Amino acid sequence: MNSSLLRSWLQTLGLQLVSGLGIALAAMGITLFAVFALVSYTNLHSSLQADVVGRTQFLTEVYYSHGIERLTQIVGRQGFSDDSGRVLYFLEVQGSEADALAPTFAYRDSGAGLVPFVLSNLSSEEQLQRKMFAETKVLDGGVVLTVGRFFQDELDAINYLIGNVALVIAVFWLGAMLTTAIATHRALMGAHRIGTELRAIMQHNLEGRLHPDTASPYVRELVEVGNEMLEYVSISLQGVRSVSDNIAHDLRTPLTRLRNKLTQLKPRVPREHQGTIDELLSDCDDLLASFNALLRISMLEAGSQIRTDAKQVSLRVVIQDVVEMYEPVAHNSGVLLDFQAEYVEQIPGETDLLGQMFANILDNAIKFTPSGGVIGIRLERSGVEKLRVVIADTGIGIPEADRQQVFRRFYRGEPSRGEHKGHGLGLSLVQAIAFYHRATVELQDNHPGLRVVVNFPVSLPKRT
Amino acid sequence: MRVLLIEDDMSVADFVASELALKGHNCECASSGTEGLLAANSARWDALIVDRMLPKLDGLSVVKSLRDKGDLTPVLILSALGEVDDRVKGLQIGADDYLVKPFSSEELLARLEAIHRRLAPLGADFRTTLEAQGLRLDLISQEVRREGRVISLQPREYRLLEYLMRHAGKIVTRSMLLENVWGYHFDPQTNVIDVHISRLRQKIDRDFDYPLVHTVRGAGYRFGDE
Repeated sequence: MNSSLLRSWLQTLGLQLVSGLGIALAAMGITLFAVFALVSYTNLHSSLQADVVGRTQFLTEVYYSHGIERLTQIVGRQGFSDDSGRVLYFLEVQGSEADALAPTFAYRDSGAGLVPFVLSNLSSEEQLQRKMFAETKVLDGGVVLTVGRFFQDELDAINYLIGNVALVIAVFWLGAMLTTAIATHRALMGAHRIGTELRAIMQHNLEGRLHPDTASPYVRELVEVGNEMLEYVSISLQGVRSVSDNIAHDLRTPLTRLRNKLTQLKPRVPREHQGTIDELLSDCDDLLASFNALLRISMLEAGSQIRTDAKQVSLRVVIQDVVEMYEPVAHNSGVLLDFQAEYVEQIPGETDLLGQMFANILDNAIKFTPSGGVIGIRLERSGVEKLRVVIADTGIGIPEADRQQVFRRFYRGEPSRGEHKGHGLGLSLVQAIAFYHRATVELQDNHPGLRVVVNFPVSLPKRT
Repeated sequence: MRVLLIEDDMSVADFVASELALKGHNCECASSGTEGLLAANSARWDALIVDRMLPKLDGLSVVKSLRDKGDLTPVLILSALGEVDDRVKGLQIGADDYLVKPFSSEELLARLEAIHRRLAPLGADFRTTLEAQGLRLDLISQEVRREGRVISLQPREYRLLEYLMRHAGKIVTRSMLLENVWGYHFDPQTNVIDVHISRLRQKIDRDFDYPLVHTVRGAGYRFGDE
């Protein structure tokens, strides 16, 4: 995973966090708002109702105790608005000289309740459309009393209040979102910084540590844990190294002694047995060669990969040298080496290791290619960030099923046993050296023969 | 040659000392880093053989403190370590050659003589021709003649011959050739060097009465007679 991918992933995570929180907070705000509005409107409704019912009650009592005259005195005949201008009374006396009086107002009776109540001023053209809460009551003697209650002012006041509440909630929500987004961004940038630093440590120097300078206690904890882990990795790595070093020392020293004693023994044994000593020496050397290769593979695999600021090496020159070195060997086997290379960038590398790698690949190719065959060696660019070395022979190839096996230590393919010399570590070493250079090795079919493809990265991910 | 050997493994020390004595060299031993440094400072030596892992003071530190004082005695480092940068580290610190255990006595002697000669009188380096037993190598025109007849060589064959002739009469091992003629230090699985030598022989030895490049069994090659 490269750095930009990590970054976008972290951003996505941050976005998810912020948007999740945003939705939750918004839902809470809307619920709060809805409950507040419902309670406000319900309160208004019941207070209006209580008012209208109370007034109707009072006027009904006036009518029954003091008669129509007193009622008329209070409410007027056709319509009367009290001082506050919020209440309107209508009084009709059915079957009386009511018709003689021109009505100044007309209203539509819609029964009691919170209703759109259209009130028209008949004396002028102007249409007053005002909402009103009204109750109509028919009293004995054909008297119809209507009590209406305007509520626009109260409604406006409540709407204003509710509007402000909505505004406060919205401002609070925005503030919370902004704070969360900033906090999340900071925390994630901390994580991003740790990722970047870890990558740099992995690639350049395993002894490096994360910087603890950060404001967030969580990130600080992460840094501490990360550093502890790096410490642990360093110690285990040193452990592996010192074990290998000790094995090297403990096993090679007695082998040295054995070889030395054999050398010293050789001139002292009868001439007819000297051949045996030579064989023993040769066995000793084979054993040591296997052992050296094994030790080297372990060290390459256990150690850190090559530093990106290591010495730059020309693959072209190394391959050219190895091809030149093996040309007479190939010639003796009747095999042609065909080397073609593009001019490409140098890579950070260890010349001796790269030489060993190409020597092993070429050595195999020559061993398994019959006389008259051709081995093509190509160095070319593949894509923007990769160099590819292809060594393709026309030999016996490796069956697809065996292609992963051949990288295993001491594995030797069926056709190579007995027929050819070798300790079965050649390709393991190739892979270990490739790993050390951050390269990959692929085996492909060359129809017929084997194609060994080594892919080298050119520009390693830069520090951001 | 007076050689100081700093080695803590008594068996290896004994082997090296007896092999050196067989060739007529004079060898003294020190078994720890501090003892070795003391011995190195207290007398003049023709060459030092220093083991890398030593008690008290490791081999590299011994070499470093000698070099820091301007002591240029040739140093050959012995080591059981074969890690990637070990060799480079040893050479960077000022050692002249680096040999990984186990080694054959021939390899050790050949390398020891090579580094010893490196400090030999400078006159040798101003030669413009190398000549031995009727073979003449012109270092300027890079022309090779044997008994007056011009022999045409490939560049690598020329460098191989030049290296052999510069060490005429001495054994050079296969890994010395790989390191000095090709500039690589690794284990070529096949005897690549042998094939190159046999090509060279085809050109310089085939049509003549006696061979100039000899194979030394179990060791390497030698140009001319001992």
